[in-house]
Amino acid sequence: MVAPSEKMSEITKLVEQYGNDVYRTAFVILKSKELAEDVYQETFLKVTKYYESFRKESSIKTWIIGIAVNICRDYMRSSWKKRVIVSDEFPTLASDSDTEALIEKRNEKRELINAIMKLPDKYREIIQLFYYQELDVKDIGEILKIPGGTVKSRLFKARNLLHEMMGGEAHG
Amino acid sequence: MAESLNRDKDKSNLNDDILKLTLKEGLEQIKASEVLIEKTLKLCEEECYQTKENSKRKIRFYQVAYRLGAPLAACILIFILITGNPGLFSGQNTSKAPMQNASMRSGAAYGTAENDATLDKALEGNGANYDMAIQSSVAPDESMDNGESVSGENYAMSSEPFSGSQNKAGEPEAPPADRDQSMPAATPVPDPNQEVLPATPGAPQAVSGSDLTISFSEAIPPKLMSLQFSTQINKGNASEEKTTNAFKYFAESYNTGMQTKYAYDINESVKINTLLDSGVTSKALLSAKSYHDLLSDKNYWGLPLRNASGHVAVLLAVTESEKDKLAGGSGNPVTAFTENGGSNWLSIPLAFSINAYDADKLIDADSIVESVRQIGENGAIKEIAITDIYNGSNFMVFAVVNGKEYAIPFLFTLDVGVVNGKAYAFSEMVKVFAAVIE
Repeated sequence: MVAPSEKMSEITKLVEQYGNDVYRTAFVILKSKELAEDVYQETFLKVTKYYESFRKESSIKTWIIGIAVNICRDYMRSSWKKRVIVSDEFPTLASDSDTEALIEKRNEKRELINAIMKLPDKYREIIQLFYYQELDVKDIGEILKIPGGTVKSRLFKARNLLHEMMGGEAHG
Repeated sequence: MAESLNRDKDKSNLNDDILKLTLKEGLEQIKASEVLIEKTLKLCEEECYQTKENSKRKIRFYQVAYRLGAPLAACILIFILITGNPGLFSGQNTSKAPMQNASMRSGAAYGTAENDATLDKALEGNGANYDMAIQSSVAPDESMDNGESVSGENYAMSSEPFSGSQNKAGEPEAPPADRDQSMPAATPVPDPNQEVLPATPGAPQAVSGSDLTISFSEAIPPKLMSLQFSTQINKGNASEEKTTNAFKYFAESYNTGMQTKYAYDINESVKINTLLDSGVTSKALLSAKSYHDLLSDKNYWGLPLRNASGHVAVLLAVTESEKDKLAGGSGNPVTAFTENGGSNWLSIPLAFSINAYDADKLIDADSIVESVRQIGENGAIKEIAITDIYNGSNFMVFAVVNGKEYAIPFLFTLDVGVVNGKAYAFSEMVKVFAAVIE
């Protein structure tokens, strides 16, 4: 049994290290800062509660992100999400000192990220886990409870959809 | 690290690197605020110290257990040797063993075959004969075999004698020892073939490979809602011949996809009722005179997949669906199946947080009947309705006996302080839920 102070110090480290990962993942999946905040709190509360039973058979990051994704999924399945106004748009981040080229580049990126936010839920979450969290196919399959083949096909489909949304042709 | 899966790097501007970079840069500005971090750490701290307090009581037990560890282990070993091998010390043939195994495999959590025989005998003496008409829990094939009409909301299964327990002089039996919902249930015997580990409320299971099951007690929702398919769940007319093909397809797809070898028997499928489309609020619960007031006219099938030990590892939720509504969904791993005849089906595996032993009881009519008997209600059971009360991960079985309604909870992620598998008066149960979801 870990002493509470020791455990708390470990939890604090986890919050510092993975807090933003959890928050961002929840934001991308739920498209709401308010819900992302709820998921953030709930995730670390569960991490604290079950920290000692973490079996270390996956990385701590996969475990934490798995918990967060599960909470997000519960939110999506429940009526809670319907109560919150979600936005497909990312907050803008412009500065007066930006050059035209920089703005254009930034606009392209914003267009892409907005396209990601407009993807159907299952593609958006997989894009987030694969590209942002850089989890491998096996870990994603475990988190989402789907076979590796499905992870790969969803990624392929997600990329195709993004390509179409960005004005390109789909790749078959 | 994520491997590169982009096969079209040359053709598209959207390569892995751009996606990664864009997401990372785009999300940089999305950060947890200091207030949120502080609040979260405070909550975690409270949880840390609360857990410590709770564990103090356990330590006393552990200390005793350690002290008595060796003699206890020796006793348990001897006990296992004797019960596991009935002929070991007697020199007799072990003819009882297959029956014991069979009754264990049946998943009936209450009593062995021997107990049933004894109870049957006792019941005969009293002239008791319980006819049970089970509503809403008939497998499609069974219904068809019986030549029963399958249209409409509920089905009636052919009556069969009930062999259950009876208490003395009709007095209510003491309910089974309450299991502390906040504590993990008794640890199941490890089984190398068991591919989905049972998870109990409050006890997370995080394992690798296809075994990954993470389950926690959820926060109590503001209203109760059944699993929401991306398409409308059809009314209870799903027991056509085509059902069999769909069930087989989903079960085999699951086994192939998850590399499992779960057994399934279509005759074991149960019809799962759903709550009102708009959800059930505290007010609706309190004003309900009958469980029927809480149900919608929609339902889905639950096809149990059993692991090598015979326990329910996965419940496949299966429903017929309209073709043009197959797309969409909330990211659940939905599998679709289209018959040549144009019939469309959807399936979602409900394996995320099922405690195998409770799941066994959930779909076992005998266990439900037994639960009702245990509170002293010995009349004929007129209806049994398995109902998904929250997201396909929490269920309530409603039973009607002598005009009285009972509710037997099977909560796998919610914790409202009731005991899984125990029968409660319907009026009592709605009050419990109304109070917590208020």
